[in-house]
Amino acid sequence: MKCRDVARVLPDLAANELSEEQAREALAHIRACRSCAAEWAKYTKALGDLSQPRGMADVPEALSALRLPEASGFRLRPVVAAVGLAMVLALVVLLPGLHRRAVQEQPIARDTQRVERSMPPVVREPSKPSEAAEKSGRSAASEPGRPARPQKHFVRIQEKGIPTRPIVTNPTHEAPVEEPDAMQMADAQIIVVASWIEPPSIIEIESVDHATGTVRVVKSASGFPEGEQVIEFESTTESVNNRREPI
Amino acid sequence: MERTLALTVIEQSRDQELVRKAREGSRAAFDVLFQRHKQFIYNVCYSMLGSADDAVDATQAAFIQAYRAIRRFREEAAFRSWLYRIAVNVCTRMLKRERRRKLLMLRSEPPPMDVASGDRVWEAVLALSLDSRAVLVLFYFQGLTCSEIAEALGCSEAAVRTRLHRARVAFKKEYEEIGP
Repeated sequence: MKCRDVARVLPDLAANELSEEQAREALAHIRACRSCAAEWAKYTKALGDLSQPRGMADVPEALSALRLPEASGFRLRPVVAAVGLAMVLALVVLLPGLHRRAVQEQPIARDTQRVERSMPPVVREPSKPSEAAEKSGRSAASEPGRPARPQKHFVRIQEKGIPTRPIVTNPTHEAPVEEPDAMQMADAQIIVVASWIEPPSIIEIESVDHATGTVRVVKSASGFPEGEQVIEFESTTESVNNRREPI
Repeated sequence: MERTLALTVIEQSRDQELVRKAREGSRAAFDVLFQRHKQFIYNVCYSMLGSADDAVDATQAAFIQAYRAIRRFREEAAFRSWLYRIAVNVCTRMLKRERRRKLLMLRSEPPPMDVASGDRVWEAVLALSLDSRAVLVLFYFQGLTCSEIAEALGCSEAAVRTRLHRARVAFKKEYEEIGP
């Protein structure tokens, strides 16, 4: 054994927890090595003092009886938890009803309302391949020999003129919504936010037929194809109060 | 007369029987268990905490916890070992709380250490980490074997031996630093 090995086993040797053979080897080294012998002496002293029998400390008078809480004792934590849970449940149940009521009671400022329709339409069959699509490199749909892939135009139709009759929208979608008809929409602009036309551009339309989904484009500032486009509307109506977008 | 006789019978019962009765709701049986083990538990707490007042509180807390959890006690372990484990956990929590308080500077003066006054061994033991302190107290002061300590601390016997080895090295270092 070397000093390093002996140093590792010294605590166990002092506690008499080494095997007989290991203890003999360690003691042989300790007899020969003065520094290990000194360390060994320190361990023997410290652990010897620690092993000295110590009488049990007397139990103080305060422990003469166990102070158990009463069986029917009031425990605060479960009560607080139950009250908290009840409050959360009440809020979950009551809040939506309160909100609905508040919305229904709110007066609708008809004269300041503008209607905006967000419609992600799908062009069923483009009449001719789009120039812009070809320019932007996304011409997969118009490649010869490939079936035409329907292009998705994200189209927002926005009123241009003053509507012939008020258009009412309700954010909760509960009140009946008066849809703008074809005559109104003819006097409108389409803002095209198609992914393949950058930046989003404004086009002017001549007519919109909701029944067939046909839009007649008369003027296009960007690559949106002019002429008659068949658009499938998936329309939702949303209120755009206080929003002013440059057209 | 009958009541005295019943109490005498209860007092002479073994731990297992008392535990069974306590699980069935017998407060008298648990009281006997308390009287039987309170000194050992108090001594463990006293050795761990170094303060008689804290040890009383810890002992009470440990027995109250044991009373509440006695239905969950598995009878393959000795009741005393189970109590030791609860007591060590209670002391550890108290010491950690104390340490946090010190860290927050809410308590500037050192905690009262009744047992440490003038006793190098106690001072060295109380300077050890909680793990080391627990195994040294149970092994040297309470005279538990390694397997009993393993049961009490909820770890393997090998882990107890390793902890004991580390604790002895740490104790010797602290003992030397405190000086004669």
